[in-house]
Amino acid sequence: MKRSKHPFLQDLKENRIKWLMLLPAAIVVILMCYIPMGGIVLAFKEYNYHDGIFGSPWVGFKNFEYFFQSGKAWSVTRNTILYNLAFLCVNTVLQITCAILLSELAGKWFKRITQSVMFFPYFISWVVVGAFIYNMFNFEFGAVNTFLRSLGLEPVDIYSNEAVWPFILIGVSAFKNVGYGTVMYLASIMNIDGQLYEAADLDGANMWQKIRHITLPGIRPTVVILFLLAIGTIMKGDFQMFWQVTGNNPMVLEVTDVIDTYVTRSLLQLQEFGMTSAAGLYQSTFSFLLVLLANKLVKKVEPDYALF
Amino acid sequence: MKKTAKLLALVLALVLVVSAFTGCGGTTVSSSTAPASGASGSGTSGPDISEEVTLTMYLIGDRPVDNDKVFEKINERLKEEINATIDVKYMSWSEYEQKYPLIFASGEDWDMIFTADWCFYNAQASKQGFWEITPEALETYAPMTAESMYPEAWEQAKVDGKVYMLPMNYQELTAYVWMARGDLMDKYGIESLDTFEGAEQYMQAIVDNEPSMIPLDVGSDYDRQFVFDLLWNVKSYARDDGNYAVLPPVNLITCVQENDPEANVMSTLDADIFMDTLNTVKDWRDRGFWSRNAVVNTQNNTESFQAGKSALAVMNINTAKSLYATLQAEHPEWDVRVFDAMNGAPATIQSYLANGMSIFSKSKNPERALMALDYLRNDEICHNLFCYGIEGVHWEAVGDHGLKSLPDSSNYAYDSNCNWGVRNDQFWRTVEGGIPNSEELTENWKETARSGRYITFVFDDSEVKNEVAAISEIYNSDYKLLQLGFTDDPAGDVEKLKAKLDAAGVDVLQEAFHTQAQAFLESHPE
Amino acid sequence: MASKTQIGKKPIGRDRVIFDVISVVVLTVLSACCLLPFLLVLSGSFSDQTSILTHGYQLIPETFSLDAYKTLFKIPEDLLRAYGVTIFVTVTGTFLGLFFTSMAAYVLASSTFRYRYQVSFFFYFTSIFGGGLVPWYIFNTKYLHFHNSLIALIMPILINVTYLLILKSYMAGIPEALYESARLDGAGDFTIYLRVAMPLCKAGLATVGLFIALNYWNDWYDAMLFLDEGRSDLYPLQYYLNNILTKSQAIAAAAARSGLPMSEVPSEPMKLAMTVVATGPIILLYPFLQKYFVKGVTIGAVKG
Repeated sequence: MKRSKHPFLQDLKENRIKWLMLLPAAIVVILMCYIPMGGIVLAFKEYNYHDGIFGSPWVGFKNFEYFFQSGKAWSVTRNTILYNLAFLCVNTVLQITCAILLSELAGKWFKRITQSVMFFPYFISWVVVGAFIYNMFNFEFGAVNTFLRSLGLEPVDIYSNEAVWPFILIGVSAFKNVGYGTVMYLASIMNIDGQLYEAADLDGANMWQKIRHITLPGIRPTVVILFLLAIGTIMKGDFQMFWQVTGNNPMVLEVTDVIDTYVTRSLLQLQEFGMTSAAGLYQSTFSFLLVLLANKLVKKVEPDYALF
Repeated sequence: MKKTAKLLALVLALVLVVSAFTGCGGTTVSSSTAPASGASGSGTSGPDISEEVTLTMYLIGDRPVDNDKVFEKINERLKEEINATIDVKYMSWSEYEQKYPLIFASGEDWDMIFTADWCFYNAQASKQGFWEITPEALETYAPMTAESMYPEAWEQAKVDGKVYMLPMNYQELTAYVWMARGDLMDKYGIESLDTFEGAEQYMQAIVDNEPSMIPLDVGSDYDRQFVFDLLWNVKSYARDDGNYAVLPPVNLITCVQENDPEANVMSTLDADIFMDTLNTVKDWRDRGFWSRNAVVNTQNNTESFQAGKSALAVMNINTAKSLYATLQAEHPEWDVRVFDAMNGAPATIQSYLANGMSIFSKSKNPERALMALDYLRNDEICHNLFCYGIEGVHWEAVGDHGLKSLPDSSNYAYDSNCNWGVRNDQFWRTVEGGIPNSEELTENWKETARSGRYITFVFDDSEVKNEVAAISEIYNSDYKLLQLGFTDDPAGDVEKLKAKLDAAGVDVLQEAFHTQAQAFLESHPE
Repeated sequence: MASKTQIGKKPIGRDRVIFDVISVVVLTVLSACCLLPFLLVLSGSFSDQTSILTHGYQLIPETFSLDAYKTLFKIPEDLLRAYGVTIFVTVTGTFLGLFFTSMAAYVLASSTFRYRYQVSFFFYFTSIFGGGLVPWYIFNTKYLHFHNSLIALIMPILINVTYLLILKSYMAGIPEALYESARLDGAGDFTIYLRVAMPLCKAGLATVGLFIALNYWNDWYDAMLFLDEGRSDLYPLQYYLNNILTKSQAIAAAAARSGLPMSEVPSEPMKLAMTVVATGPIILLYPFLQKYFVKGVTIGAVKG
């Protein structure tokens, strides 16, 4: 610590413009994130208004117990991680594919329209998506069963069928995020040095070769960073999505329950801030350890791509 | 790794420093308000009202157009009597669930708030969010309330032996009714739904003949409780050796036989009528009386009924009253009829905690707030203004207990301004008109109505929060399925559920219930 | 500029044809999948409650009704004001957010900045650990006095660490040599950032700017937390719409629970009309940004 103090101060002086440029963002982060972060202690407290956050009595790890008590902790943690991994893989592949297709396409209008249209789902709230899903799959009047009946086939009861829900959720996630993610990769492709493509053209490379040897390696830093960022949220389930799309359906909970929905159901009647904090802290700590690990691996292979 | 550890230490240090800073702020604020609340009970020689104060009152809902006009009149009266005026703030229906707990934490300056057992009363009281109303304070600052308060209501409002709410002074019968389509009943020759057989026949007729309809389209979380609760109650009161009382809160699925002097609590799953009830709901579900996807349906059965999608709806009588009027206007051809669904089970007197008013623990003028509440509840002028609006503008009296809404009532509607916490039987007026057989229904219930042995029992969950969370989770998932009869193997699924309850610590929870129920029986002899 | 003309001159090969066919097919199918639900929303917003409840969502509405829009536009001044607030907040927030984010990203991407890993970590840490809603709310209201102020709508989502790190990765892709030459010309860091990094990273800036704008556009949560019922003049669009929608649902729920008198039943089409009203203007922003998404043009242009 002592040794590094000096170079730090020196750097502060030498690179003061750089430090000043960091300042506005840092101030916002300190105010909005670091100061309230002290509230993490709530996870170990039984909060009351009179004593406030720091004066309320300590309760040790008691606020964490409910989470592990009913034996569901493992299954919801597993579901959360698996879903996030599946979303990550499927969405990444789909988004990169779309980005490459769009970047190579020549037709200006076609490109504009498809790209804009792919952004539409982002604006449809999960509540509405949930209502659509219900309208499509409900047993009596759903579109799917109405269609099956008109063909003289047996109707199916999707809502009691565990096997299909992971696919529905993955599909819905891909649908909602395709426009959003595509833009991100598109921007990354735009960043690739145009001369590389020119050189390849001169060498007589075909489309596939250019994609394989220039485009894909070119967007690698973006892929890696998005992957690392995704690891950081791997323990967090998109609450609205899981709650609304499945309709909080108890029949398929085994395969659709994630940490956030489980905690919500547990604390629905109990307004206990400490217990909410405890679940959050569990998610954060776990993700943090994973990120440290992943970041270390990346740093070993490709130091430039690491997050920190 | 070493570097990361160092960084982490740095960040943590920063967090600690920063929290220490906010921590100081937090404690100074709370310590400065402590004496204020401490001094409350010891006011001796009559309240001192020399200083004029403005009290902030939080209500839930949207500001009625004429709110300010009404409160101007109320304030005139309050200014005269207790030298205080009220400033009303509304918290809209769309956000109260999130915002309610936050205004307690925010350090904002306010005084009174609407509360209820369904609106965070217990949660906020146990977190010291409310100012304690001691009997002495009540005598001193709210003499009229002290006199008129139903003793059961006062008992009910106790959380860990202390009272933090003035519950409404209003007894309300709640009972379930069926609402059915007269045109369809006539078409299939169904006479009446007064018995379950009649209701079953009607629903079966719909299943057989109206493929585009669902007989009873239960959806929202409340509906499923209604159906199960209704059947449970009927079976419970039909028992020879005493009925079961489901102890509040319902999400902890604990019940006790009412006449058991030992108060041996058990899980509702262990009650002998559970299987019977479950078999009935399962039978109804199997016969297609409600949707195969009822557990994911979010539409209330009343909405579905109103849309013509279902032929029958179950609801409590108050909802029926307003829905009936709407449907008569929208679909007179349906010939909507309302039937008593209670099948001989007594109507219950609704908990007084269903609506009430509380005072904020950090209020700067809790005594004056109490005085103001006293007037809102017990002063006929204030009460009527708050509940019905301005006489001659929004309503006019019909007899001693009736009232007619005037056209302007759209700007301040009868009993819909979050005035429910101050409802008072003494001054209560009902709107003329409505369900034709309403009188007859109420007469029936009045004869049998009873308040259960445990109606004022309040469970203190402070020692068993983890169990409460774990069991609530089960209530909101597996139990929900059973309530609507979603099981192919009732006995097996009940066993599985029992095992889950065991794992969730149901014995610890029941132990707590048992101790508290025993203590309750001792302190509340019949 | 050179690269653009070169590509234009090139004869069309077989690989290109196959590629184009695949692209068109895939993108058309995907777009159709994305468009269909939106059409359902649009048509649903013009039907009435009863027909949605009985027939579900349909492409061609059974009955045509403007009720949902009438409810939303009941008080047109309020809706317009809400648009105004949202546009103001979105423009201000996006400008400031993008400025602060890109500055920080530039510094963190610069390989000559010795503490870049540490500072990145300082930012990244906040995206994993948070103090939770209650402490955050207390701090913002008690100490920052966010109550009923527009700052409360801007500040909380001003810096998104994820975007900061993504932008950093884009900026790291810019060849260091370009910075060097500017530095040799005597330019300071801020000048290099403004004159070299920004123009080279147009696509990245457009992307992150779009994301920030979308966040501001869709944010209603902060308004819910910090704005009082009396300050409807500060309500942003999404909050205004959300209020109209959820109000009736909440009333119905409370009515079922406690036997309170129930008012008018919520309307299903409202949900959908709300989506349409809220999506409208922002979706138009996207085509504007499209000019920044042209391949290989940026770097080549500067070099050429």
